[in-house]
Amino acid sequence: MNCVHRRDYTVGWGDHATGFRFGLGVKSDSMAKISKETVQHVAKLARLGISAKEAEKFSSQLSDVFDYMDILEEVDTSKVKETSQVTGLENVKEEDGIVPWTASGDPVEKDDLLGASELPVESNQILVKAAVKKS
Amino acid sequence: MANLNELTIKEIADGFRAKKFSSEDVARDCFKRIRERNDDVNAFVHLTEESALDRAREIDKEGFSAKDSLLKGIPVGLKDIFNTRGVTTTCCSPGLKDYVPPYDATVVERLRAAGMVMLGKTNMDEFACGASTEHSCFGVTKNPVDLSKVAGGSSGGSAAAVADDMCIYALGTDTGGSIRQPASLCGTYGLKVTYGRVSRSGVTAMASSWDTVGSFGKSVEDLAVILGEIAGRDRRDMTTPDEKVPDYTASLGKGVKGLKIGLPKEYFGEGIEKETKDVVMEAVKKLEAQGAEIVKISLPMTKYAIAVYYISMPAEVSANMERYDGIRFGKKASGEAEGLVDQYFVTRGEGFGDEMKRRIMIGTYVLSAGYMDAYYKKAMKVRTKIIEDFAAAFKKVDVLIGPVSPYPAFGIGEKLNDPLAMYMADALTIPASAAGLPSLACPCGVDGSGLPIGLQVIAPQFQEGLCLRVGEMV
Repeated sequence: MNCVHRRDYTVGWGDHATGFRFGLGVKSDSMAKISKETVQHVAKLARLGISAKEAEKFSSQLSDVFDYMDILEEVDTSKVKETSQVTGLENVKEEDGIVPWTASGDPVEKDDLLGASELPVESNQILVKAAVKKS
Repeated sequence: MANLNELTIKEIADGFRAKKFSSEDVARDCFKRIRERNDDVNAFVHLTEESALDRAREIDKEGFSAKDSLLKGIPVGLKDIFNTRGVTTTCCSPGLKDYVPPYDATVVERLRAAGMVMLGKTNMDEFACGASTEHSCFGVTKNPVDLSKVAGGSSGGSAAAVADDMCIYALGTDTGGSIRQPASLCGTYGLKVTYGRVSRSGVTAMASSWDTVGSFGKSVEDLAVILGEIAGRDRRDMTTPDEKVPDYTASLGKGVKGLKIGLPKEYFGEGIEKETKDVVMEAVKKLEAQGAEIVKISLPMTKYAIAVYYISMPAEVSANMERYDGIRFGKKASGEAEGLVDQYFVTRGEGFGDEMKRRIMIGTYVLSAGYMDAYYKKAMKVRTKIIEDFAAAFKKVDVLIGPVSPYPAFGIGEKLNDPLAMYMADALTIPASAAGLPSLACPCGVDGSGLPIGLQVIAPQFQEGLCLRVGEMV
């Protein structure tokens, strides 16, 4: 069964595996073309079904995009901290208790939530296809 | 009285209280205009005429008292990204086509409590990913000023609806420019707020550290009124700080005398069309004549903003799009699938348009092992430098002014096959988004062919009042 850790893998992507590292003074001739195989691999990680024809189209478009990204090499960020968010807030807390979700106090019913699914619902559970093949 | 749909919030509110016309009258004029124009413009993708007229009649029965919001009884259009209980909310995506949310977004709750009359949901780029509203499963929104041109995006439907007098005001979202740019291209006012000023609860997430909720209106005063109703802390959105909501209308009528207005040279440089620069500079000269001091400023990180955004934003988009698997909500796939994992591929393959797929893949790639440092973390560091750029500028000036878009509305289809060219449309709006700053887009003229040109007034965080004060005088 496929592992569901999407981005935690060490497989090299053919000619991109040895790739390029910012800040080491090593320059490849471009952030590399995003090959059709790379596109297919990334689509697989993202669980996106794409056709072979789409993979080719995206390969060309994404290569352009990533060639453009090289511009960031110009910026010296050796002493710069990352920005994750711009609110300046930290550790925002709430009282641990049950309160109505809506401002009016009107409940959001369980059936409303389950009703949003187009799949069959049984005993408060949404029925999906089998994850593991029965042997 | 005819064509009540052409009035502003303030004019209508006065009219209601003077008993010149009713809420139902206004709503009917709006729907008349919608019937005349929506087939061409395609601003609205879903109309709620019956419930709107019911609500208008209900409000007319209640009457208007001094304590009522100025928004009471006034018709509004909501971008199809806002959860509206019992009314479809699709984000204009094939994968969410018939989704009916079981609860309202916080801003929708607040507008309901204020007495809004919701006319319907407006068109957008799928999941807010675009700058032209061409990436919608309901077709493109055409620019009301010239139907061969785009309305801009991603909030193109809301911008066009207000610009074309189909509704009195509208809500949208701005992540990298999606309110300011369509406002500018359609010739209407659009306000991007400080990140965290308005709750995003119940608003479909695109890029969670960039997304903001804002509005379109026909006057700066109207935007001040709307902001007062929707701003403020919400326990359901932990990124809304406990920052007081001032009376934004009190910022108006103060003029610009004594204010220092910075002009970032990078916003008037290479890549910006000459006519756009000229029109904006004319408006700036007017402000100078009214007593503002114009200061030349540099924001050297401007040229890196697109790269920062198109690494960082897709990363966040790819995470936010993970939930669309057709299980708890969204369309069941029509294709065959063998097993659960295969089902994800089929559902997501069918449910997302091309631009979404591109962004999800860009995001997945830049977050992957071996690439995360080079791309994602690098972009986060350059984002810090963009923020520092603005901080340094605001030590010298009160607000910054520049064009919103490097060019006026472009032709429909013109940039569709060149994603990178489309991304360049956001060059001047992304930097303020990176820093979470408020920015008000104001129409300030037209080009030789009559296409609208807009400028933006950028202020420090939580200084929307300054944006409004200066914008009023443009």
